[in-house]
Amino acid sequence: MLEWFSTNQFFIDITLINCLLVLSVFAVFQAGVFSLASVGFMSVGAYTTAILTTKEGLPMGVGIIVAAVGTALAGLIVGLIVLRLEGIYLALATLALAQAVLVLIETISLTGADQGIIGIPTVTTTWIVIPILMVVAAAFQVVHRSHHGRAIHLLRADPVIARSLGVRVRGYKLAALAVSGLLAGLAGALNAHEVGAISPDQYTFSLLVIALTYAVVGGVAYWLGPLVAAIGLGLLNEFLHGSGTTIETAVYGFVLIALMFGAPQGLGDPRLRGLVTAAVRWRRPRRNTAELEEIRQ
Amino acid sequence: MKSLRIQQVSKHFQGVVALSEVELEVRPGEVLGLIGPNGAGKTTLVNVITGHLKPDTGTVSVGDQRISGLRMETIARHGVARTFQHLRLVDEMTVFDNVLSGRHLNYRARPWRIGSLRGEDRSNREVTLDLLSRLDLAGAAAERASSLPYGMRRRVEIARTLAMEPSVLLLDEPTAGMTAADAQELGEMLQRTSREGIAVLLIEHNVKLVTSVCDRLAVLDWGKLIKTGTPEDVWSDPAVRAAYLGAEDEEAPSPSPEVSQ
Repeated sequence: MLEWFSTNQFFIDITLINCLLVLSVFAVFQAGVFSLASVGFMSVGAYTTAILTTKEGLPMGVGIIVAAVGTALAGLIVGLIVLRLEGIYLALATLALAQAVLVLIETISLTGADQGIIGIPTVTTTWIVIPILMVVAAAFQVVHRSHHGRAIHLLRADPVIARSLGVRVRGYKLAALAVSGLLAGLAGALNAHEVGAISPDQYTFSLLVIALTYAVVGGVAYWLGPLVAAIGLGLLNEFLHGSGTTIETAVYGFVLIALMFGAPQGLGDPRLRGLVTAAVRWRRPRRNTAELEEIRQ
Repeated sequence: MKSLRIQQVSKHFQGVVALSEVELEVRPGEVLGLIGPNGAGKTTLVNVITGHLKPDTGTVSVGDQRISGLRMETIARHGVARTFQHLRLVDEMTVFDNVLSGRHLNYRARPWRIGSLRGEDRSNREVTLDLLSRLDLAGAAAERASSLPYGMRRRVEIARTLAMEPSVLLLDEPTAGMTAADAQELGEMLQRTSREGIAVLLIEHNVKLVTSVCDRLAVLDWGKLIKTGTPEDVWSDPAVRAAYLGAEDEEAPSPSPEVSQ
């Protein structure tokens, strides 16, 4: 087992970093914002820390923090621009903004144009990524259990109900875009310090499709779903590629379709969670009074 | 305690008059029944009050605060709560969470004050459980809202609005889908609720209910307010009888509570 970890450390790190990217997509989707800007934010985060550490000589920690804060602000600015739109129009506007950023990166000399930046200190380790991911997951859990979590659920399910109950829908959506920017920027920065070299062709539309797939399969109801999807499907993909077969794409596609049919609301589907809870408590049938007491707590 | 004041409110939809210079006041502690034929503009008026629609002219105020022109969520923050003509619940949430979501504005503790946050959450949960008991929903607290029969879902929606502790309560046909006994019970509960100082505007087609529950009635017809007064005054008005039934009719609604729709 330990040997597997040590020989696959790069894959593990990339998978965990991808979890941050997928949670970035989840952050906006759970608030009912169909933003496709995550990979754009990721590229901004990666280039920010790459420039600060290779050209300005700043330490990696500073580079990552500036990248995360900068992309959170970028998320806020994007929100101020695009939240006048809804649905597919909002999606297209965010995608266009992200593509515009990539075109800019490919053009200017500061970012190394299409050659990118090399010589970025490769100091990202599993033991840096895991605590970051745990803090992010804990933050999602705290929000999920709070009245903010209920408000986010409301505005995703029915914005009219949410607004009639006093929920500041625009404020929550702006916050969701800022969090999405922060997480994607963090993922980009950690990824840059993992691989050591970045170029515009790493931040492609197919990376966005992968992140979207994991977020959709994981579901928008609960943060654990996208996390499980990112790790599980990432492992499956790696295993299939390593197996040397020619049908890996078909198998992968079949698994995705099966998951979408089996859990249409994603792996965080309350019914799935209910099944898991029921399986755990099969010896102790739930009673109404016990349920009420649980709710009271 | 605040009253709801509607002054000279008009609303048009592409030339069609939905509301025409409506002037109405709902006082704290009273239930005012808003009645009128289908298409009279009752729901439009509620939508204008809550900010779902903006009035073309006129103002709406709660107490001294003008609310017309504000966003829906800001109007809710001024103490205006509503139910919807077409029931709106979050189906996948439990009954408890649906009602607890009405307490959103009662969470005020700063995120870093964890102790206050927990205490606040506990007290909001207690208020929610109390409301569920009052509306005979405690047994269904852990059920998903979608699994309940229509009448109970209506009660959940009402519980959610009461959870807001509003100054002004707007109920759009709240007894639709309820049995006569449940509707009467709900009406009595609304009367008790209004006595706590809430201004209640009740849109309802159930003549018996509005007659027995409302302190005053206001009648809308083609967007115009044609009569305001006690139920006896209103039902004895020939214009109201004509509007409600299309013409003078021997079988027009009677002020007697015995007469049902």
